[in-house]
Amino acid sequence: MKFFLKFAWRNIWRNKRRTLITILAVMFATSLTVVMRGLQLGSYAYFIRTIAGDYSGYIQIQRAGYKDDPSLRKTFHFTEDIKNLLDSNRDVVAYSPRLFANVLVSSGENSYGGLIYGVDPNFEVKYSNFHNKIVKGKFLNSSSSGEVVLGYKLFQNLRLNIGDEVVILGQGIDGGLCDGKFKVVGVVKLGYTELDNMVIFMGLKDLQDFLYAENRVSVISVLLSDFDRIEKVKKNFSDILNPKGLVVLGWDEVMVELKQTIDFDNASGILFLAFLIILVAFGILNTVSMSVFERFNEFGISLAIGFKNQKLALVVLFEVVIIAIIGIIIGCFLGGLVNYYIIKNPIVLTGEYASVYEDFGFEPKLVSSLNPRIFVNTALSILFISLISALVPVYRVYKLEPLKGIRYT
Amino acid sequence: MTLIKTENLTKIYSDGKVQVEALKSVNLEIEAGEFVVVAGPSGSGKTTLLNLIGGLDKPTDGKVYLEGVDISLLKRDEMADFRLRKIGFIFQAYNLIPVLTAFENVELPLILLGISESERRKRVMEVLNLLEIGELADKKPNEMSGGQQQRVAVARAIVTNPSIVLADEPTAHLDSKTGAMLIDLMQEMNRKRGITFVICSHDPQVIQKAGRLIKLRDGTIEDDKKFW
Amino acid sequence: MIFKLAWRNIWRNKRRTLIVVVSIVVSVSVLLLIDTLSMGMMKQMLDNQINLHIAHIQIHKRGFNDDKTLKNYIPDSEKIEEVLRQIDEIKFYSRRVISYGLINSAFNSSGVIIVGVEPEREKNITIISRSIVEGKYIGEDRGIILGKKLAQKLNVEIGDKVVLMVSDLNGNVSSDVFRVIGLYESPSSEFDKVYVYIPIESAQQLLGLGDKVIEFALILKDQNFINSVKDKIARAIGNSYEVLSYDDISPLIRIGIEMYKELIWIYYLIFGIAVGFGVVNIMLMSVFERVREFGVLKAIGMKNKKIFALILLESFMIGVVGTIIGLVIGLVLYLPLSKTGVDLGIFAESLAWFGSGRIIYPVLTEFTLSLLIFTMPFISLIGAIYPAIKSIKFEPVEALKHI
Repeated sequence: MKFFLKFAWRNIWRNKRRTLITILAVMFATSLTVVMRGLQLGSYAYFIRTIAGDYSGYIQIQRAGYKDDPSLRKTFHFTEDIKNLLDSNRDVVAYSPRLFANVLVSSGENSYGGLIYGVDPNFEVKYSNFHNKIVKGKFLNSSSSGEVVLGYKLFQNLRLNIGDEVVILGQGIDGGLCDGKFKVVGVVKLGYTELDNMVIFMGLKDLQDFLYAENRVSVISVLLSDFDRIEKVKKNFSDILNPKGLVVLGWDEVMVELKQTIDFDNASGILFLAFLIILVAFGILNTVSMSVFERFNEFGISLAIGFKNQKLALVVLFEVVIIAIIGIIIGCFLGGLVNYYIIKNPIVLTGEYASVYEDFGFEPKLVSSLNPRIFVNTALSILFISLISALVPVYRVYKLEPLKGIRYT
Repeated sequence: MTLIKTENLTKIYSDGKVQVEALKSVNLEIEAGEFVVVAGPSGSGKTTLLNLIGGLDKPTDGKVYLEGVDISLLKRDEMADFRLRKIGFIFQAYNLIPVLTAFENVELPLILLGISESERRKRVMEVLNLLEIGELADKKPNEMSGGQQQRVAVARAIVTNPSIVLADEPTAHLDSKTGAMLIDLMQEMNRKRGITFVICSHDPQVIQKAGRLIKLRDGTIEDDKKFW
Repeated sequence: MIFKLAWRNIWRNKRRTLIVVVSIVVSVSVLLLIDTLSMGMMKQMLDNQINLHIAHIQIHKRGFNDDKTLKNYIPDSEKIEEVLRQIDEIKFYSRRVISYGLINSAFNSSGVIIVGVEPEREKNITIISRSIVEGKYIGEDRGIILGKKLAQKLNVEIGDKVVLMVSDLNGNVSSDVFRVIGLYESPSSEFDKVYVYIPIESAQQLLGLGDKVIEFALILKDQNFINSVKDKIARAIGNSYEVLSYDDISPLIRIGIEMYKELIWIYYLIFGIAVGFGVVNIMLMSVFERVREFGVLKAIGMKNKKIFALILLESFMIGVVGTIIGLVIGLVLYLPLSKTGVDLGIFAESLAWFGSGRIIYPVLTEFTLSLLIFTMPFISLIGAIYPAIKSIKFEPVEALKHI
């Protein structure tokens, strides 16, 4: 075996230039794949962390049926049992019970549709980053009563000042109309256009009173220590909560659009890279077949002296693997360096492009990832496709008859 | 002891419509220890005969027995093994693998036989020294002259102690002096080690040294003389 | 002569050339499909945005776009209509009343944008009338149509009552009961959750607007007229109004398309480089095999320049041949797909979020076509430079010695 490896190693350096170009091609494909996958997976993780972190939670507790009918009737009581369950689980980093309500908010002159996030500041501050995104005034605190914080666009549209009062009109849990006056104490810029246009933060207790929905919440968003805990905790909570008519959903079930958008982007990225690797495989095929056909005479003689076809084919296969592996290793290294650099110095988009990101609620920056999965998957796919591309020439060697080889011109 | 026996050995090459009868019912027996030269003009069937004996080619009709074994019954891999153990080959050119040193080229059949490294080392050096090319051990083929390359080829052919060495025009690409030296060497191996040689050649220097001279013409044996 | 020589040379080693040609064919046809699909998707997003609501041009009282309050109503709509009637390029126009509001069912409530439209005229402006999936289009008094998604959220069906709640022109809360007469489903799920339609008279009454309207929506005979018509209208109706194109109102998708166009060449370049390695490789091989031949050519007086050009030409030809075949295959795949569309149903929710719809019709633009035509021949040319330099570096005598 050692001899065959040595033999293969020397063979690939017979035509240095050709081998180098081929290695360069493999390297190019590898590093590009690593960088592009890094940007993709890095962004996905970042999107999920930001979105799931602030909004849905890694997992979310809802009443069964809320997902299809998100009305007040499908809210549930946030009981001590649930609280104890959440507090006792070590994978739970933070959680926030929230009550949502669609309302009409009016400054007297203007009125707009609003979405109230009824949150308990004690939980919310530990859970989300909303309080860090205040651009004017202050966020709610545990002593807040009759106070609201508005999304900055809503605040602008309503032409308000801090300290002004707004009238909020909504529909209570019994279906009857309810209205109330609230004092605007702060303005928040979430960077998510849709929410900045309509969000109103209100103390959970205030909102429950306003809607006559005592102790009720729409969802409990839960933050876990890591993504890979999701399945375990979900299972654990489901067992306890399902009998009570509650369900536990992962972020991907709550935000199907985000999940699918990631899947869509992921699939198109993989498709592109697959074609890139296939193009490089054509290069490998060409190099291997050139080098194989050049050596047919030599192979013929080797066969004549008793070299078996499968061993000869094995040597050729080794040659392909060596070329591929050198390219893969250097490519992974270079790609990894780029990813590392991007992780340390995220690329921040500016100008018009930034607004595209903001519209979807993401900070306009490109992040990367050094997830080992990227390297393993890239290396294996490239190695696999290289081997496939070498099949034809290797098969020709396997089927070669000594005389045909000796006489090959 | 009869080493090689052919029975009605016939080979017809068909290239589309044209059929060429390269060998016509050749019956031949070669004893162990003989030094046979097969001579004849080009196209007389020398190389075809050699290839059939070496199992590189399949006869159209007739049989080849090597040490009593009908080689047409051997499968591809069995034939490869058989060649590895029993037959040494020397070709006109491209004999050696360019990326391997002389030592490694000679070592190759022993590796294929699965012989241990120390044993290989001993046997390769023994053969190289026997052929007086020990100093070439670490040289690659492109660093050697044609004559030196063919000597290494002989070394490779005999290192496994085969029953027979088949050589196809071994002197074709050598000048006459080097050619003469090579044929002397082969004869010496024949005498010292008792290896049977079957050499195809139309080089008079080679024919001159034959222990047995078989003349081929148009695929049949025209003449078969034993000198010693 | 040099063409014939080059052409014959590239086919001397058929296998090798074919592999490179195939790699070019694959990249050209794949790029054609990827690019036209992405283009198609973005065009659909843009078209849907225009066709769903925005239309080509909107006219409001100045300031409405920034501050969508009812107070910015159009005081003098007859005067504007008169202007619009005189402009030939305008195909259709319609008057609208728009307000934020809250919709309440017996079960739930939701913030919505209430659009009061002239049912018959609006049919020519947007696709809503053609997107009804249950019930019928608006027409009757106090009839409302909602997106199907919104109806699900509110838990209402055709025939159910809903209450619209708004603050009227004077800032007082006003509400009215409407009957759900139709549900629509557009390509954009976000849109469906927010927009509800009632007859313009009902809206004016609900909002206390009298006979005033908020906006005009215009469809032109050709999108290319947008800027000139915009200017024409603006001049005619004066400074107290704002005339906005769809791009002024919602530039995001246009920015997206520009961003795409600015970045797509990177993808071509990446494929180009991958193919380029193959080109460099075979051209180098072919040059080294022919060193002796070049020696002969030089010996009989062929100039270095010519040999250099010969190598470039050979490589260029490979690029051109691959591109032509790739374009043919790409187009053969593209043409039927551009009719039937590609159903990306597994990503339906995501595509509805983008507002493109699940069936994507690829669109081949001149921009894409020119990238496709030039990339690979150009790369082939670049890839041949190094081999061509090698080819002329050999001196005739030295070259002749080379076996």
